[in-house]
Amino acid sequence: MAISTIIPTIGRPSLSAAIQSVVDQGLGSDEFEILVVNDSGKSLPPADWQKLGNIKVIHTNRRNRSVARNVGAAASHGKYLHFLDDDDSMLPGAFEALLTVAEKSKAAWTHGAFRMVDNSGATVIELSPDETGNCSIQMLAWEWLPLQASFITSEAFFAVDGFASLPSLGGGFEDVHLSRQISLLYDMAHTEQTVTTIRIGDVGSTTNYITMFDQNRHSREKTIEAHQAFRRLVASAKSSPSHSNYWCGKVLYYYMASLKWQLQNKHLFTAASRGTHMLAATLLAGSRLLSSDFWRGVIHPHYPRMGRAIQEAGADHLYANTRRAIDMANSKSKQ
Amino acid sequence: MLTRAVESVLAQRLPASEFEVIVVNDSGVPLPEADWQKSDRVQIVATNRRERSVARNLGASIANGRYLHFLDDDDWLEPYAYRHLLQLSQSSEAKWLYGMTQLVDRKNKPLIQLRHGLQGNCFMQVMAGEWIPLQSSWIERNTFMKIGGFNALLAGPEDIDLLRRVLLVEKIAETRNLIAHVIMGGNGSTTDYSRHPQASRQAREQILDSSNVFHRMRSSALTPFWRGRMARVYLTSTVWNLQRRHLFTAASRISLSIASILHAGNSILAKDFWRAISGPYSSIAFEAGIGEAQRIK
Repeated sequence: MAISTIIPTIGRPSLSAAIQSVVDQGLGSDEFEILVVNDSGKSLPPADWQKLGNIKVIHTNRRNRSVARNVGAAASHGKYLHFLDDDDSMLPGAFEALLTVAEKSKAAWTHGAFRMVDNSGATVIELSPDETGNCSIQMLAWEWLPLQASFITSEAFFAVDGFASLPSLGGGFEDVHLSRQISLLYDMAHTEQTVTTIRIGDVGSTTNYITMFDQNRHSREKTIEAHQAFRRLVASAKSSPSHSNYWCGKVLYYYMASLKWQLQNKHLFTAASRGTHMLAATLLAGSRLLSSDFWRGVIHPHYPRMGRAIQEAGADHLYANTRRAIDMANSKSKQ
Repeated sequence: MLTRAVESVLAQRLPASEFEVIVVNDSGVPLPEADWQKSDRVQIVATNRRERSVARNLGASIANGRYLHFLDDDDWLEPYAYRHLLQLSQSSEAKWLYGMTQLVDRKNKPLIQLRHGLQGNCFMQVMAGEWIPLQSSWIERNTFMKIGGFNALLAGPEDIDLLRRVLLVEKIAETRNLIAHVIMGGNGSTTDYSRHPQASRQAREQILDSSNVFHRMRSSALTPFWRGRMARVYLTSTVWNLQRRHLFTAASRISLSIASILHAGNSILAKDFWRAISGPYSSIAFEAGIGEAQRIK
């Protein structure tokens, strides 16, 4: 079995279309399976897809999204896990494109380009993230790779114990946290083909944007805590195909932010450890210290491409909550 | 043997509406047919040869009960087990409820009985190595979910790790009734976490990194012996971190060792304190159980 698509649902009628878009990928029924995790607490209305052989429904009882997705993953058989939402759908040829790159690159996380549409189906933003190889620093900087547009190897997923189901990380940040954990251990690959359309989920979404900043903080600390983190982050910054100087500055930036945080919480020894890493990051930067890009990375907060794209598309009103969360994060980390 | 386990739950002297059974089949092949599969209280889910913790977390995620009880397929319950635990739950606010365990060998011959005597905040005791079988325990589901369930990255000591993480924030309560028969020996990794010293150590280090550990341990270390054990926890952790060159962590641990000794006050004059600091730990429940068994002989 190559691919397990896991769809947590709260019973939205768009579920059928999401499932159909996966069935329409044209893969043989022994090559993929769909696991619908019904978290609505009610039974699902009868639908044609329920007659298909390689679709399994599991019932959870109104847990959070992470728990439902972990349940699907635990019951899956595929080499790759693909997490789709019940209001999104895959574009024709998506699985083939992702699978080809995943198999060739042996990457743990393979992602494609994606399109964000509003409720009428009109495209608002189209993005093609190009993270390849060791992307731990980009993930730490809150670059977002949508799960809908990603194949994640089952091996990597279980090596980091799946989605964190702690409430402190469960309010919409679990996908970013997963990408951070996986990028500390594994590499990534990408295809330029647009693989999925994602409905704008900002207005009226269940994601908790108010706690987004705290979640980001918590997730970042957990990521930096790992003993291999420093080496991995430095390697990631140095090997970055573009703006390598900037990313080297960012390593210093995040250790500095963590130092402040640990001091505020009176974890003096942890703070001292972060300080040492800051020194190491500076020494390892070598001649990069002379580049203005490096210092731009050290001084300014990172503005993720998603935020830039929203601004350029003039779609601020559709993403008011997301923008507010990003701005809040940036202003707090400046303090 | 799975049939014996499931039937011992279905035979509980409680109204059928009070409990459900979730069998997580992690074998990768379908289960042989059995009568209990016809029961409408039993739900079977299949996972595909994952870690035990992944299977258990999945079971917990689809469960509806207020309490979770994790039974293994080769163990079984006393007929009144759930009733005793339910009674205990009505008089206690603890989130981890448990009773006595009868350890048996592979031929079902009784070995020893475990009665732990742990009540209330026993964080220090479980940090020292006191262990309570999951088979004889009820864990409140909300608490279980809040702390994120079993850590599937720990193969072996995940049960004691869960106990420690629950007791870091919650209390425990005991009923003096026999709950479960647990098979020990052979490949009985369920009981012998000391066979995984590395994983066990790492799990303990992770807990020591959490906040509030020092205070929680201090408030459950009330005798010279436990105060000594507390200092020992930090001292051994200092050595472990030094060996791995985690210098800042080691520095933090040594300061907390000193703090524990300072906080111990007069206790440092007691022989017990120094006995606890210098000697390895032996489980109270096991010692008592073995003593009892010898007395009967």
